[in-house]
Amino acid sequence: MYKKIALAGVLLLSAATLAACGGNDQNAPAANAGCKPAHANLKTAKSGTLTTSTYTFPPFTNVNGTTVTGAEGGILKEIASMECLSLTGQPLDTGSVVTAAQNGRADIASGNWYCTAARAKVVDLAGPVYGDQIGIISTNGASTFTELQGRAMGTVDGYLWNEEFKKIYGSDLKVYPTPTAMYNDLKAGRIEVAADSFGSATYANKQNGDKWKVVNPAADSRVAASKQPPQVCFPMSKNNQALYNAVNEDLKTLRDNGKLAKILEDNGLSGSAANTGELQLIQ
Amino acid sequence: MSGEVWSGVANGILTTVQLTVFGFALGAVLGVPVMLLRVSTWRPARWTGRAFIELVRGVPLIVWLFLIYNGPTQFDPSLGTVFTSWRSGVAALGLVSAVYMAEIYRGSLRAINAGQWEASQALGMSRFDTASRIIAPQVTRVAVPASTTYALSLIKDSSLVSAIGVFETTYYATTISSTLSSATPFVVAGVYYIALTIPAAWAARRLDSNLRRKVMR
Amino acid sequence: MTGIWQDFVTHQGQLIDGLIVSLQLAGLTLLFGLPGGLILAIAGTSRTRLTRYVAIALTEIGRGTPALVMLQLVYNGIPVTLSGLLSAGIALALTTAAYTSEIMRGGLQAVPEGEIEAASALGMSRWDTLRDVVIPQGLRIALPSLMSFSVIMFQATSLAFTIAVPELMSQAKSIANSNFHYFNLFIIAAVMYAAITISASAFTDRVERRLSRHV
Repeated sequence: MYKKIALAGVLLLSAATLAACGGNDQNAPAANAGCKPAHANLKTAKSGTLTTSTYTFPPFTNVNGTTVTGAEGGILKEIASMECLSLTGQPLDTGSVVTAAQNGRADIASGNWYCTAARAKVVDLAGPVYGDQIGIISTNGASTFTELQGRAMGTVDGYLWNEEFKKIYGSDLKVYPTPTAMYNDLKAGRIEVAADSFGSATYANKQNGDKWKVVNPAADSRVAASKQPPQVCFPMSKNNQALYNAVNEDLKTLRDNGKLAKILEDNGLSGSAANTGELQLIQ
Repeated sequence: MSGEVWSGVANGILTTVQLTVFGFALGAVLGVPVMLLRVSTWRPARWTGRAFIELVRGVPLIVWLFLIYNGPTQFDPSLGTVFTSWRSGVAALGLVSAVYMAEIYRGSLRAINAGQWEASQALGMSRFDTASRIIAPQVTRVAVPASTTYALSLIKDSSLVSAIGVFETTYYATTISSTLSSATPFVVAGVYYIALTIPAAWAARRLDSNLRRKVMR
Repeated sequence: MTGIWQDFVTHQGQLIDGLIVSLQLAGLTLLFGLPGGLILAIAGTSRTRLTRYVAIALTEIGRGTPALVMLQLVYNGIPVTLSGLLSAGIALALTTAAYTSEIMRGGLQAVPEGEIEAASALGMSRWDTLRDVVIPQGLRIALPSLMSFSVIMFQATSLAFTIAVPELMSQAKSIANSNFHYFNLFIIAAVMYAAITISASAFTDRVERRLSRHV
């Protein structure tokens, strides 16, 4: 019996130690001392590091451990290096990605978040980062929303057209938690068409041997995003105005020197998507 | 099924084991005060214990994970450094384990003959001595099979912690599956979980029969 | 607090639809899972070694695989394409069958040996004894545990959001993904789950007390 109590004690003790060690090193020194940041005295969640809460959504974000690549990963990496920070990813379920940035656990959320008015009330939206379009991916190249009626259709959770689609397509529409889950179903034949970000649809099509057609559908008054192409933002906490301003200015620098377009192109997106114009929140 | 998938998913096994061990240890310890509240003869304490158990059990673990990970920082962002992914995961597993363990302890307590309390009292032992030296050792022994069954199920429940960014087995399966756009990593994860539970189940049965033999002697 | 209530009022239709899907999924899970558990329980005590081993293997696999992984396997890993709801029902039913078979086996074994001997003395066949004597009593003994396990399975339906079943958790997430009120919606989901499970477990307690009155 005493042995067991001792064992429990040891376990508990090691739990406490491990929990203590598990914490992040708060005061890690900046990556290199000689670097001069574009903006001085920025505060980040972990000093010396720009932390992005994210999830895997190719070609925008590819997460491998704490390394983030893809188009948004590349842009964030540029921003981080302009500020003499190193980029770290905090991969999460989509249910926690934005909250993590909102609460300041991470500095900035990534993964193709559209700039909408409803979201701007809760978080600061840095951007626009790049412009996006709806992509309809199907076997026959359907190009209008009316053509899609009556067919099993998929979309991904979080897209602003989901509510409008529900009204048009009703129970024919399935909402997927991740693009991967949706494309698995398209492959398996559970759905015939899918709506996704144009870039993500193109990427998925390439991954699957270009057997589908990706089309940007004709504008339709029932779907706001088809009339006004959505812009992508980086959701950030409302409590770190300095960092938010810095990110916005860094984005402008990257846009002006052409790096932004280059990163988009490197990741299979169109370089012209970098020319977003002014931020326009979708109502 | 390439070797890369097998080794990639295997990266999370150690974390799965750690989550289970720490979550269970936390639950096994916290379960005692919860059980004591629940069986208290003082009504407000009993009701508090009961309400706590019902509330914690009533909400799915995945919801607890989201709430513990995102909740505290909602009120004070600086708590983010306290509630890291790992600690939030252990806390959620520990919380849920505590109420299940409390119920297991309570069930074992009921299985002990009430006459022993009276007998000890007749021998002049204090209530505390009776509880700690007569009842508790027996409760522990009776609780072993149910506790080990619970610990085994916790191995699998720990898979949910992937949702808050802890790099355990299911996390690796999910990411590799997204990158490869294939379900194979989940087959691999399933094999690993079974590989973890079967020897653990065997060890648990051995422990149980050993204890039983000791009691009979 | 008002924000939470506001979010509930605004989205109550979608949330309640989600809860209904959760309940349907739980129903589907138990519909397939409980008979499965009984079959595994009986097969596990079979005199034929092969049957027994198959039953034990299935039980171990079912108990060893996390529900999250099981969902992915049934949904994406088998060559047949089933709808999300049906896949989730089957995946969770496999888990249910594996777990409840242990509970039911315990119940069946608790039926006094003497009754089985008496039945065979009366000339009843092994099957008839099983069907008319052992199973009814064994299930009655196992009933409270089965009911509390059912409540656990109802909670497990919250994992079906990973395969696009529009249940409560996925509706809550979906709403939160568009308005970013994550915390509010998870609180609402928690309350809705708790409302169902707490009343279900109160009912289980009553049944348990009622049954034990006659023992």
